[in-house]
Parts: sequence; C-alpha cells; structure tokens
Amino acid sequence: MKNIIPTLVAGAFALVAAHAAEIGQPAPAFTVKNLKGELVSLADLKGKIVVLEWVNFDCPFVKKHYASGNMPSLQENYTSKNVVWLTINSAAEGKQGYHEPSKMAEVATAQGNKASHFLMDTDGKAGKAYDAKVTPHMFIINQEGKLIYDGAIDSKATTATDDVATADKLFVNALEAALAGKEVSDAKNKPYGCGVKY
Amino acid sequence: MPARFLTVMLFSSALANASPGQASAVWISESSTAEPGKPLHTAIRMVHDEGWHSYWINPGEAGIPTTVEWKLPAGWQHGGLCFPVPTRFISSGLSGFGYEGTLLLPVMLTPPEDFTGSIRLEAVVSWLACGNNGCVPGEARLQLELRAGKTVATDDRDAILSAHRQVPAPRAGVRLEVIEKQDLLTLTITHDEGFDADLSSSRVFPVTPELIDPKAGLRFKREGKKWTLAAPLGEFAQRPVRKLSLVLDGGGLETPLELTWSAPLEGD
Repeated sequence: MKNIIPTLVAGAFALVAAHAAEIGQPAPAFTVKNLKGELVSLADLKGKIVVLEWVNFDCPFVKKHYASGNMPSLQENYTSKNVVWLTINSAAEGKQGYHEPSKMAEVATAQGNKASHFLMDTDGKAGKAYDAKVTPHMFIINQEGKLIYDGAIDSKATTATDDVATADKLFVNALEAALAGKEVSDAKNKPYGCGVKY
Repeated sequence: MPARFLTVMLFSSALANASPGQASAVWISESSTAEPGKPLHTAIRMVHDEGWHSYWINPGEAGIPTTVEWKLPAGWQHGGLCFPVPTRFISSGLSGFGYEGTLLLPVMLTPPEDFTGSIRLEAVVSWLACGNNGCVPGEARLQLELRAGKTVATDDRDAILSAHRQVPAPRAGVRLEVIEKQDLLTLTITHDEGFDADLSSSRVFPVTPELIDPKAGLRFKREGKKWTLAAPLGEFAQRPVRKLSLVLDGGGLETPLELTWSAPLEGD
C-alpha cells in the first residue's frame, strides 16, 4: 500500500509533526519573561488552573475580542476566581504584532488587558511547544498540570464584534467545567485567527 | 501648522497604495442589457493589493472564504457565488487556499420574465485579506445597472465567459469513492471508457473544509483502470466522514473537475 504522502511544509521553520501538547497529557513546560522582565514558569503554577491566550493586538480577530470588551472581562472575571491567566505574544522581533516590552505594556493597558502576566515569547519557544497557530488561540491547564483545552475562544470564526454575544462560548464552557471539577466535553477544536508571526 | 500638514500628506500617500480591505471589488457583466428570463453571465472582479490574498471555499488552516450578501429585488435569481480553482500558499506558516492579483468570481444572474426598463442591483461582498503583515477584513458595496433588452457584449464579456467555463464542474461518467481507515482517507476515481485524462499531474484541492490536512501534497496515482490517493485526515475532521468534494485541475484535464462523494445512507 503506497501510503507515503509528501507533506507540504515549506519555509524557514517546520511546525513539529507530532503534537507536543496533547489533551490529557502534561502541558509542555515553559519559562518566559513577562513585561516587567520577571521570569514566569509554568512549573511554579502547579495547583492552579492556568489559561494561555495567544495574542496579537494588530490582528482583527483579536481586536474583535478586545474592542468588544470580551477578553478583558474574561481575564478580570477568572483571575478573581484564582485562575492564572497568561497572555502570550510569540511574534518575532520586527514581525507584525511585536512591540518591545515597555511599548507592549502600553498597548496591553490601552487594550484593557487584565491578565495575571503578559509573556514575551519572542523566540517562539513556548508557542511552538504548544503548536499555537493563530491569535487568539486558547489553552487551559488544570491544577495537576495537564492540558485540558486547546482551541478557539468561541464558535464564530469572524472579525465582527457583533458575533461575540451570539457565539457558542467554547473556551468559557471548558474553563467553567474545569472550575467545577468536571470533564471538559469539547477539549480540542479549531481555533480561528491570524497566523502567529514566529 | 506645516508639520501637521506634512503628517496628513504622509498618511494620505501611505493609504494611496492600500485599498480598504487590501483589495477592490466591482460587479461586471457580459452585457449591460439583459433579456427577461434569460440567464446572464456576470462576475465579481476582485483586485488584490500586492502581497495580499483572499480565501477559497476551503480556506485551509486559517482564513475566511469570500461571501456575498445579495440584495436582489423580487423575481431576480442568482446562481450563487462560484469559485475558480485556487492557488495554495503558506502564510505565517499556515497552509491555505485562495487568490492573489486579479480574480473573477462568476455569478449567473437571471432577470424575471417581466423585466422591463432598467434596474440597479445591489450586493455586498465580504472577504478576509491576509499577507505577511497580518490580516484585514474587507467589504465592498457592489452595484450592477442593467436595462431590459437584447444582450450586447461588453469589453468584459470574453473574460467573464472564460471564468465561467473554468469553474470546476462534475463530469458524467467520472466518480469518486472515499474509504476512511484510521487516519487516512483512500480516494478512488473510477471512470467510463471515454475519459482518458492523465490525472497523475493534476493539482488536487479539497473543497470540503477540515476533512483533509491542508498541508498535505495530494497526487493521484494510476492503479489499473482507477486512480487512487491516500490523503491524511485533517486535524479537525468530523468523523465518520460523510461527504467530500475535490477539485482537480491541470494535468490531462481540459477544464477543472469537481468530484463529490457522499456516504451511502444507512440501510442502502
């Protein structure tokens, strides 16, 4: 049986063929600097539910969730429930969406970002460990350090702010399940957004 | 005062090179006159800014297909927005299918039987344009003015008719079958005697989103009287696979081919 398929993966880098981040498996470790220059390590957050939110403030899909107030209100709501929320930017220096840390801090504040930490994953290591493909791309890690959600913020893959109110809240449903100690039913789905500019 | 003027000048010149939504769109027709009840070949012509692309029915790993909101008066019918064969590209490391440069999206339009006088038809086309510098949603209000009367060829007629001919279409006697096994879809094309195109160098595009991995290179191989291809399932394919459409273009094909398979219903 001729099953050898040439895979079309061109470009200066290759996304890993096997997913390092699998639902139900230990979430890949990372240590990344936040906007204050402090190192933030996933290992230190064991015992807490951790949200990873990949961001690019120039992306119209991200703008949809910030201009509508959706993402900031989720950040505020869930950090007050003891969830650690990490907003992550994996754009390489000079690529769209990249700002150097002090400028990024201004932009994040102006956008209303209320994450626990904003991580500058400029070398893309954390992004590639999770295979973060687009912005926004959401991940949830449970108290035992296992990956329990990898997918979209919601069900409407559009740039229209009006769609936030009527979309199925895929990410929120998963996070609510995690907080209630219940199984996440739709743990892996297709995230929508602009490609991460590694 | 002069500094502010200079800023406005620089801003304007930057915008002069970029269309809103990084593309322009207009509705064109084979004729500015149309006969009542007779289908008319029209098209939406999109011109993308350099370095930007819009998306096909199956956009690939990311992206949104171009759509149209029709605002036609009673009695007017359209045949839907048709898509020519796309090109495949990699943008920000993500595989996608879509278009660059100038694109004609064919639309058949049929006036009502009682069409007289003249009319201005309206529609809104929406797209997502992406490039190395990110993505921008785009939208254009389209207008097409038509008068009742015998058709008279416009300068656009040849290009529009050619675009209509190049829309992938099914072909009698050529069939697709799909078998799902583990993480592969075995695609088999069978055909009646008359069809002798060599499909080994045809480009293959999955129309149905998600089912086939957009990163995969797809090529049919001859197996006796059949053509086969083992395609990797897409990461987010809904299983079991119940319906799949493909487009084949080039190689031995005169015009692009669309093939569709549907799983037999329970009890068949």
